[in-house]
Amino acid sequence: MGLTRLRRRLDEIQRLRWFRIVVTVAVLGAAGGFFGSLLAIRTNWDRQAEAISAKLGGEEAVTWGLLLRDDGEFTIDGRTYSAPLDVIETLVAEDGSTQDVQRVVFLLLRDSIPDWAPRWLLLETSLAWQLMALTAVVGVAIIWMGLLVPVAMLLLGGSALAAVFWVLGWSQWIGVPLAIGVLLSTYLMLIRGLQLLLSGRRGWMAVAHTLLWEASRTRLALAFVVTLLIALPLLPLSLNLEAPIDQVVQAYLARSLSLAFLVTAFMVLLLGCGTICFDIRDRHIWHLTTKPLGRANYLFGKWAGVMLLGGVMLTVAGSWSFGYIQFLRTSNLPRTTAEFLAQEDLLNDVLVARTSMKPVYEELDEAGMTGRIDQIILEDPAFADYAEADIPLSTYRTLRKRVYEEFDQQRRRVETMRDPATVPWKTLHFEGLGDARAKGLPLRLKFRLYGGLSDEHNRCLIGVATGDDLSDAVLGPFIPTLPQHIDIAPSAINEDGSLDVSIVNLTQHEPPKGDEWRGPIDLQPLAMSGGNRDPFAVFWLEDEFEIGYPDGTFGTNFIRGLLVLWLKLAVLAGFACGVSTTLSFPVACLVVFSAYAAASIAPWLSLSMVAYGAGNDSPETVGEYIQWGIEGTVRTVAGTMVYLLRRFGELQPIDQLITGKMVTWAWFREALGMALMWGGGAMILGWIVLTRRQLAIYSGDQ
Amino acid sequence: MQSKNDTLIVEARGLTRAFRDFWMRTRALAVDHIDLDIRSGEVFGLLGPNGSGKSTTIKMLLGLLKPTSGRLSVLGRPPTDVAVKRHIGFLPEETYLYRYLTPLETLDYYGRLFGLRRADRLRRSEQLLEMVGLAGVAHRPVGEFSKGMMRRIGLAQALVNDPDFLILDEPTSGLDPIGTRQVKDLILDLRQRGKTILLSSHLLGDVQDVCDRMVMLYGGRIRAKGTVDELLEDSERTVIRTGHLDQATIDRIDEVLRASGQAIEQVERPRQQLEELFLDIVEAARRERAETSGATEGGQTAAFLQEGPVQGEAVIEQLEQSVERQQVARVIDPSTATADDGGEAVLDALLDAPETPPAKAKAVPPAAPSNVDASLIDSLMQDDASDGDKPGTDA
Repeated sequence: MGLTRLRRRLDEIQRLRWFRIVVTVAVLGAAGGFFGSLLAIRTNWDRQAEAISAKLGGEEAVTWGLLLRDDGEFTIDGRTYSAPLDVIETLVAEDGSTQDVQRVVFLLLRDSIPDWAPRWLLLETSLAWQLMALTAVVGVAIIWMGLLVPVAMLLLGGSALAAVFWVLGWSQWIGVPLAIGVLLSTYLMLIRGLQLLLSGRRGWMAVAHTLLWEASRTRLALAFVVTLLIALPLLPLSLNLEAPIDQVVQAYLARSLSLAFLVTAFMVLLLGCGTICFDIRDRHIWHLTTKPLGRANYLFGKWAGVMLLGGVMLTVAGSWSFGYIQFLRTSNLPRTTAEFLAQEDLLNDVLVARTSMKPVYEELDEAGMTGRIDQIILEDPAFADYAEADIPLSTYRTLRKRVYEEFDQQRRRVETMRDPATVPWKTLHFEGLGDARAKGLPLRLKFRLYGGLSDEHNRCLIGVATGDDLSDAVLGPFIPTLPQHIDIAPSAINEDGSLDVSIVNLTQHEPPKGDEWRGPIDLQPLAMSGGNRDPFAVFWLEDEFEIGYPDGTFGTNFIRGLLVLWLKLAVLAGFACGVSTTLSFPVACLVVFSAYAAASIAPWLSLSMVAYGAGNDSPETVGEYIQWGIEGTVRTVAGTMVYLLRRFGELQPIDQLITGKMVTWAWFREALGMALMWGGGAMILGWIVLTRRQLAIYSGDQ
Repeated sequence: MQSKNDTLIVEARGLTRAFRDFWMRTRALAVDHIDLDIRSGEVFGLLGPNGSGKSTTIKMLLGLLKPTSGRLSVLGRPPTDVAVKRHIGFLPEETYLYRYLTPLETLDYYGRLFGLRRADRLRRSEQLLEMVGLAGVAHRPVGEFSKGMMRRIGLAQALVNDPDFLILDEPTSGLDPIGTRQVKDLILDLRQRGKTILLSSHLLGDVQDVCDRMVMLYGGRIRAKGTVDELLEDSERTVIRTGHLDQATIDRIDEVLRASGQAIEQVERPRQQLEELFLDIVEAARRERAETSGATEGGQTAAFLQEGPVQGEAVIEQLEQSVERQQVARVIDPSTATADDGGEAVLDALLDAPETPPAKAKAVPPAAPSNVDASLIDSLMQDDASDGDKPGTDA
């Protein structure tokens, strides 16, 4: 009772106008002080960087460069700057010339930043300004929305727990309770903000508004919210921070976003089913439908509330993940060459939005297919007893499948020079690169090759050429089964936006030492010449050979990715709300979770169906008939499921974000279409049921 | 007693509702061809034992159930019409409110469903909570409330839109005597403002105290209907109330009666009603400022419920502007029975004072102990044709 009274008293105090004004001034002052200090540090950093750049890039650059290379330090304006000698040697040449002045400056000033100052904010001052504005807005919003007491209690509680961890010496745990407090506060603020947005007088707004209360006060949804907001700050503890930074970031992105989507999807499904089923079961709907609230409005309000709640959870989780990635990216400044390379890979391969193209492969037309089948029938002794028209349909289908698979493998395969039927290179045609050509964006060919024993400890030689001419190409090593890349200049792109890339099989040659690609060299004679190794055919999988170029920032790509995830949640919410107008809670849950699982595995199921085979078209015995019936049923059900749900499973923006690929607006439109078609369709069916369903029951005793 | 005007708020003709099982066999005939008229401005009672069809009738009026056959209109429109519901307030038999909302949030929510402005919602919510005695627990979740407190908040939500047609299903169920009395007072207040009220109850005293007209249901059929006076009048008895009489006076009266061929059947001293006793004790406790964590004494009827009178006809006209009203055949008014004047000579001999028409008291307890209600229900239970003798009783 005492705590309740205290809380009420504090709540009353925070509603006082003078109190709000005082706290507002304090928050604005704190935000200004913190970020102002950061900006001052950055200004000082820029001044020193300018002085170092002037020395290393000026007339006496060589002198200063040699001084740095020899001593690992020098003094400018009375201040000494130093760096590890092994790193300096990779950046300053023996003649004293500096290859990358900015990197040297960065290295020399790495210790001039106070420990408390976030590096990533210092690196990007525009972000610091934005965060200062955001902090001020959020702080003022918390105060004037009446959330100061709960937020302060959460932050104080988190701080107290962090202090306990600090005293116990559990340094890696210190940030966890603070982060949980921040995340819960953010969640509260967003929910309150949404409720303000939904404070209109429309019926669906009232329903959605109340659903947010339901989610915040009942165990069903709250369990998921708390689980997610506690698990997210714990995730960093699962990371191997000794690994290269690009892999650490990829691992965190994958885990945090996958966890956020999974937990939110479960919550959306349960809450979507529960809120309507329980309204009907507990007869709340008697109150609602005897008010001037149309049933479409009721259903739409429930859907909007569930969807918005999912959006809030994704926003909180996404903001946290994005912020933590920036922290990871900038908090561990690279000191060794490997760290620099990892940092480069992070920026070029992960924290980027890369538009990717796959080769336009040759297609097998019907004439080609028929010709090849006829050839097999003629040549294969197994078919010697058949007249052409007598071949069973199932056998014919098997042959078609075999021909197509052979053709598909052949177009992703480069034979060796020892195969007299073909040449040891394959030219792949890319299209749609006009934008990269116009903007002069560098291309990156990413591939993963297989061949021989596909042993990752093996190193082999491969050549890459652009255009038809193999005389101006590069060669270098490749390691089977490992992903690799090679950069291509945008000038290689044709005027029509197409690009031909030839892969030359040089596996009969010894690979060069080191990882550098070498060229130009005429690959044709090299490929046709003999070598001292046993060559093998090289091939790749369809999804593992593509060319791409940076076409946007990671931030905007990240937002698009979250939007696509949110629209997928909207599909689930619509489905859950629609189904729960008809079924009881347990049955509705069973249906929607089954559908969600089916949609998630539909892409893999699609692959499985290829292996499932064509089946026996001419059963003769009872057993064969039974088998035919079962297989046909399974194939029909699976085929329908794949046809309806595969795209839901294929739209995986998290995979795109992890690999630095663009989540295009086309994805967004597709997800929106899915939300409207599937989510909206389920809602319309639910509305039809709800308008025809008699919500009351017979309560008499006859 | 006639209603204030003849505008029909509810018209039902041959209203029937059967419940069927999976095989479409009739499991229960909950409402069986009933005709019902509720006029604007009257308090209409729906009386009957459990399972008599009261709640099913109300559910059809609210559009929660569809009639199996027959015609039904509420405020001149089909009961499923959303526009009609803007003018209806409903208190169900049980209060089905969200347990996680506070009373203030609950009223705000339902106020929003009626499209009320924020300022109006806040004002009405505060007044209603004050009225039902829950102002002190306005920030406690409804899930923590007792049944009686739930009924109070349920009643408040039914009034948040200042309804023209209020449907109360067992409104006093779970309420203490104070709450019961307040509900009755409220009903009478609302009637004075011209509101139409449908009161469903099996608590006979409630119906008797506040209703203008009523129907009695049993087995889904109307067994009796008419005004309260018509249905309750016992033409075989005369009761005279006066101050304390000594035995000599009583003997003299008996002599006079004997001269007229009558006799005193029973002489008794009226006892105080339990309700009055209870209210006196609670009032005394309040004067002593005893603390309670439950509902407090309710205040006066909410101010917004006391604002200018509302004409039911105006509401219907408003609804008719958008859709042409479906004509429903007018129901024949129940015949008003003439009082049996057989005892007038006796009265004239005893008292020379003129007869004053009975005024509707404001939620007073029953005037005298009577077993009229019980016997009436008993007679209904027997399901014979003897009811046909009652005025306005359906054959």
